Amino acid sequence: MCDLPAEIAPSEKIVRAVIFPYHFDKKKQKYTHRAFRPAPGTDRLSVIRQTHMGSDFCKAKGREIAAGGGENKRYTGLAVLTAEQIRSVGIGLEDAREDYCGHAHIRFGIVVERNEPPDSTTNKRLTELTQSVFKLAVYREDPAPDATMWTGPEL
Amino acid sequence: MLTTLREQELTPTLSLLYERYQPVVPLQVGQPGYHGPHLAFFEMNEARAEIQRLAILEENWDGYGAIPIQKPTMRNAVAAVDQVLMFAPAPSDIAPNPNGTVSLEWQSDFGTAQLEIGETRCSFFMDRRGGTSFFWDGSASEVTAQIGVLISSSLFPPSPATPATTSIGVDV
Repeated sequence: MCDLPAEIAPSEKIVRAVIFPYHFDKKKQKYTHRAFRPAPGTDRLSVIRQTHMGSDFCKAKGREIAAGGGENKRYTGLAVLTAEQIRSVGIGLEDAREDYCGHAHIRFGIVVERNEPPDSTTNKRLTELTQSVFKLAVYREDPAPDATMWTGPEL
Repeated sequence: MLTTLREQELTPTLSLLYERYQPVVPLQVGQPGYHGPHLAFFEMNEARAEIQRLAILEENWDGYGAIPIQKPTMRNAVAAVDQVLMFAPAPSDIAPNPNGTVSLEWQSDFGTAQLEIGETRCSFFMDRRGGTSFFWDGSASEVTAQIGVLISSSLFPPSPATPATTSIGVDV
């Protein structure tokens, strides 16, 4: 049972858990807009409603995400921005509690086909959108990624 | 013994002292991204190796449901690198995408370019700062060297040739 409001308020803080190395530029070792590429076969990017769930929950999810699937990756921190900022670049944001309570999706409106790139004009548009979200988000590197609780600055 | 190094017309000719006390060897620089046959070969091999390393990616490699890079995509990406890096410098980033494609990115003060390669299709766009954009879509197995020429000439143009003569004399 999830008792969060289904509507995401403009002031709500939204978090994306950042994973090394796949969200990082290999040469510069800095996190990049690649942290915001939609999931295959969808236009959706998985995020967490931090205002309702809290930073400890977001961190726990980040660690869980990094532990899933293939090896050689680790959770490094949280990228934060508000619902209003997300919507300001012309993309959608909606609750996705069917996966877990506090889950939400950023909707880019551009579906990325499995194993194929979008056509070049659509690809440029998608890159512009992911770059916009990346620039608006504030990345908070976790000072103690192996600890259970969030010990970094307030999100 | 007197060894003299001379630089004349910094572009398009570079002088390279390839071994101590050996004669100065002039190398012709045809394209700004072209660093001579050995360096271009090295960069190409590095890029190929980086793409081949993507083969180890398993299902859900990013934790968010990413799919593995398929062999045809990898072959296409390696073939594209072979063509494009004949003229363009090494990409600033080579990255897998969650949807199973491979992206090559270039960045300079003059703009950005991105080539994304999939199983059968390929898409390319380039944005020149303050200028126009360029788009190309095609078969993933038919990326030509012209893309490299375009990247090189648009994003890494040669600096204006400045006639200069510098003589350095060393008494050994």
